[in-house]
Amino acid sequence: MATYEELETSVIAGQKEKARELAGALLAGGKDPRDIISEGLMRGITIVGQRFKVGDMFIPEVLASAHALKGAMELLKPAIVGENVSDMYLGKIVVGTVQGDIHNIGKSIVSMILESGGFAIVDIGVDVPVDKFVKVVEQERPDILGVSAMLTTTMGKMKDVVEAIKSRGLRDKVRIMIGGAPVTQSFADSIGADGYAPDAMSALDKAKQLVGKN
Amino acid sequence: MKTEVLSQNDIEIIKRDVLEILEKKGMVVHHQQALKALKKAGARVDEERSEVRFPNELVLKALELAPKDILWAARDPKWDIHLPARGTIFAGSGTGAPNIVDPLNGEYRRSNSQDLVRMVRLVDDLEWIDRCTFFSIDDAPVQTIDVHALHLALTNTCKNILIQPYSKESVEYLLELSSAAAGGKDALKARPIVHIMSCATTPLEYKEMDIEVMTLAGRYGVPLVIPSLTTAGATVPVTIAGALLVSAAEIVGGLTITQILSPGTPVVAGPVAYSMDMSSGYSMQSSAEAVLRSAASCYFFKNAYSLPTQTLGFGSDSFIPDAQATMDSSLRCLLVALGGGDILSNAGFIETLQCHSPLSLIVDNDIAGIVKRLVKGVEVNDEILGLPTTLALPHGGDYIAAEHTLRHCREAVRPKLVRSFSRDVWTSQGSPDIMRRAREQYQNILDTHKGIPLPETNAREMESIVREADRTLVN
Repeated sequence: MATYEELETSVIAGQKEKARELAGALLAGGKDPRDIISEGLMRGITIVGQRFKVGDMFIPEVLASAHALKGAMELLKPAIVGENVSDMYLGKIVVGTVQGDIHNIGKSIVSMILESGGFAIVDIGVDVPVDKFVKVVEQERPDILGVSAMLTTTMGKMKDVVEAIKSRGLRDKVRIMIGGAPVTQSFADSIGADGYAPDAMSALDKAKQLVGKN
Repeated sequence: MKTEVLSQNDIEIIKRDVLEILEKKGMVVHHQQALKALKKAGARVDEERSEVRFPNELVLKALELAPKDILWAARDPKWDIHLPARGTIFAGSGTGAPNIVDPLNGEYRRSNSQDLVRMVRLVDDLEWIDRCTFFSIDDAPVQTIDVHALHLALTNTCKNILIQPYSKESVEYLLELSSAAAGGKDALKARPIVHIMSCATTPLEYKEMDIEVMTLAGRYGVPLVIPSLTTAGATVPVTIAGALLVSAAEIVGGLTITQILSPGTPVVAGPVAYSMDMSSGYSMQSSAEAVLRSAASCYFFKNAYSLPTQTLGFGSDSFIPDAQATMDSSLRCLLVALGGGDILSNAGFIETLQCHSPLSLIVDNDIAGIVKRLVKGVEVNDEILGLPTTLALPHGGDYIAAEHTLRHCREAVRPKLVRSFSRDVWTSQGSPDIMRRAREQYQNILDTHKGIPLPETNAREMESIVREADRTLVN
């Protein structure tokens, strides 16, 4: 008989197939899918987050854990009735890199860490025009909008995004986080962003803080 | 003196896999005209997805066509760079960084045009730095930063300059500016006083600007360097050889495109190796693996294709010019030189290419001087051995007054920052450490730098090109 502990361990070990099997077995054994998520999957990913923070786990290992979590979640979702699955996440975050900038990796790492920390991520890619940021915020209604820029020449676009969100009357509906090599706290303050983090792990802390779940 | 970083068998395997990547996976090329030209030349092109696959013969033909002996000329011919470097290395400053650690007060800030002029004059003066660069300055219009920066560089040094364009629109102005400095298009072709960078977007992609650079480099007769700036574990495989392979495929792909668009244009391979720190996600240039890959990549290009290489030969992940920066720079420089790197770039740049430090530049000059001597190796012949001197010397005698010593006593390399005197003398000077001595040298160079001014007509034409660029590109 599968146990929550085994499921937790499979998430920590990043075993995608095993996590799915165990989640399936627990479900077949009559467990409540919400309990499987909170007692098994979330416990596992919380430990992953803690270990990553102190340098005991590496980024590719965290990614494998996030995939294991995601695979098991997909399996459990249909079994959850009468409840919005998105409520199981800490919040929804839309991420994208500004127009004129094709840098992807920093954003991907941050997205992955946020995802492993319990956020739902919508990645709208690189070279994203200001209008598209606004449109996606309108459609997706995220808790947080994450804007990335790698170049000193493109970071100015972040201000345009903040301004456009403001002028569409969405500013009080979404918190805005910015990041990227040239970005600093004082730049974030100067353009009126809500949050900035110098690296992926503090981005998770900052996101939790912004949605009031730290 | 060279180190065998890879075996002949390793090289053959990697060469084979480079061809396989280019033939089976190919590259993405964002340039409609180039796609047409590549198709016509025999590449398999998927225009809708901008994907190009290169049959082996096409790649091999391009490798054959690319010149193996390359001249990077200088305004002062004394500083001409003839590639490949034979029994030595060439050292160059770094490119691109927008920040500086002020050499006088240690302040960390954005760089401006005065900082750039000082950097260029330092490079112009430093004995073991052979070629110059420019970096980003915050007091020029965003659209023409590179044009203004190159103008300052061309004006203040008589050494060869690496051009890193910041936008597609500015490329032609940068080359016009170089042509004006050289004294016209023919003069630039005959003696290209600049070389220009067309950088791959890793993995396996070329953007419109970089294809534009390949085309224009051919038209202006300016040599190319094709860097592939890769982060192991992120944009290329995590292993040293795996990363080397993808990076090599990217450069060879770029070289093939160049030889199709601009046949005969000289290409220097520019493998730049970072590794991603697996716990923080940060890119590091000074990890042991990144340094070793830099050396291995240079060794590979030299031995697989007889192509000269330019890579990071100096620099550090440190934030300030400190012991870590000096340690990183020294280890890297020596290993890359022993691996056969031709142009060792990035002198004076710290924080993983993000920041310029004039003090590091001055320390790196010394490192370059020492490493140039080290790779020269040991010369052995009758005169050098000095056997008659030893046989003639009575037991109990010394060599100080020997003719042989007199003949050879000036051959030793003398780093500027290393002084041999007593502790008492050192204490009486205020016990200066290496960075304080570097600061003194910094002041000294800038106080006394003369330089070779450009002919007035050239200078006037350059000014009008900068004005024209501002008028057209700055809205």
